[in-house]
Amino acid sequence: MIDKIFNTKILIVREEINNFLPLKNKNIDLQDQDNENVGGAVIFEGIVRRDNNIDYLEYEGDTEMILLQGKKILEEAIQQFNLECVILIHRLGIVKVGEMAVWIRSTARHRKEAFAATEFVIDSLKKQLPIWKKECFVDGGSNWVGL
Amino acid sequence: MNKNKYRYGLVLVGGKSERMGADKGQLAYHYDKSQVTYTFDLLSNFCDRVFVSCREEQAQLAHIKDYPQIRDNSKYLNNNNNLNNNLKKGGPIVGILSAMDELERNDNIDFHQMIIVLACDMPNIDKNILDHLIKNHQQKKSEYLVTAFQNPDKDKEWPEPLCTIYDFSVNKHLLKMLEEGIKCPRKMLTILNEKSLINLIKLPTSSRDALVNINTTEEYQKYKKHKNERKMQVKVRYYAILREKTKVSEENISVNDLLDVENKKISLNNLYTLLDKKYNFSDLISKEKLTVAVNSQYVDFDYELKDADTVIFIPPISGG
Repeated sequence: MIDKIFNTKILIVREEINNFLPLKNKNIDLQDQDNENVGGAVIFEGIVRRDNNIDYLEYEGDTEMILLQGKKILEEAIQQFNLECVILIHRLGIVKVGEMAVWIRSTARHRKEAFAATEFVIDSLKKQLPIWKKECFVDGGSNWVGL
Repeated sequence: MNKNKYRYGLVLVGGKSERMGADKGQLAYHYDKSQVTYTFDLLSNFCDRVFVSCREEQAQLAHIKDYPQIRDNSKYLNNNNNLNNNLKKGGPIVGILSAMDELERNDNIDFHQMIIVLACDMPNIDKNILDHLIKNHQQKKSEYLVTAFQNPDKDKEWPEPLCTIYDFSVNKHLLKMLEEGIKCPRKMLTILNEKSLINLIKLPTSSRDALVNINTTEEYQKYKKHKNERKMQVKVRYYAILREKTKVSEENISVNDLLDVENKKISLNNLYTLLDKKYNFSDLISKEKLTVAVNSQYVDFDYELKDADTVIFIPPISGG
């Protein structure tokens, strides 16, 4: 089980049953870590889209609480969908249009569980993790999302 | 008839408090709230039905008489096969057995149901401790019948019997030991622990002194003095729209002056009111739209603040 704040701008919450290699420096090389029970891996990438003249998004969050609440979500996902592993990466700070803000990968014996778990994790993180994003527009204006 | 699904709570007002010279349940550690009231209210947060366990002659005492009671059953008091004359006085185990017996007879209990037992002379027990205890009990292996904290008091550790969750199914083990002349609950749990029937858990690291129990007038006065003199300080972290308003990401706030006289505690509501006065958060966002976390856990606004808590008022989140 590895929980860490990655390079201060990328936050990783990770929950796994089997022994996986620790993350190697900045190369997030994860695919080579699957064990032989894995029959399906589902990856979700959340990407910043061009909306209302957005230039970039600026994320902030309470890392301590994200790690704790994030771990709860992943533990729940593992239990509910019988996963082999699930990894959640969320970037904080500035993320430009076209860049990836969230990365989730669930592995299970069968694809159905992996699909369902991945959706569960992204839905739960939107409801539970203390992360806020500010839309910063091309004209210099900005807006906190969700207020 | 269907079995009920109630979770029960039992306040032990118990002993004669001889060393204290006053009834322990009457003492007020939490401002002027009597310890019976404090303990009863605390259990009510977690239990469907809460009772005060007392001896027959205590039943009409002013600080007890208005609560639902379960009185010590005389059949346990008389159950002294010469070894345990002292049992005439009752004791916590008689209170616990009497409650189990009465609830089993009247309430159609399932043996897997739990009763949370809490003595009223443990002023440091709070919501966090009970929450921790209950979560551990819910995750325990089925062969465990009791979830108890490892009490770090003195030299030897032992399973704490009076801030503890008992399954009704432990009843027969307790009765058997009582018949064998054992009446000390600590000893009973120690024996049950040797038989691997106890889910023995550690106190949360932040609450090492949770199980402190106060027995003498000197201890009580010392505790009160310490509590009154203690400076309560919490850390508040700000994010997003609130951080832009405060222009700081965190600050320490002394909360000693925030005592809410009506509720006899310092809650997040009181802290929020103070900060709202200082920063006019209400101009930006209504309080109803905020949630709140303490030490990384979501809590309600009526949460009672403790020294060194870290508080985050959370505007609507938008991760992902």
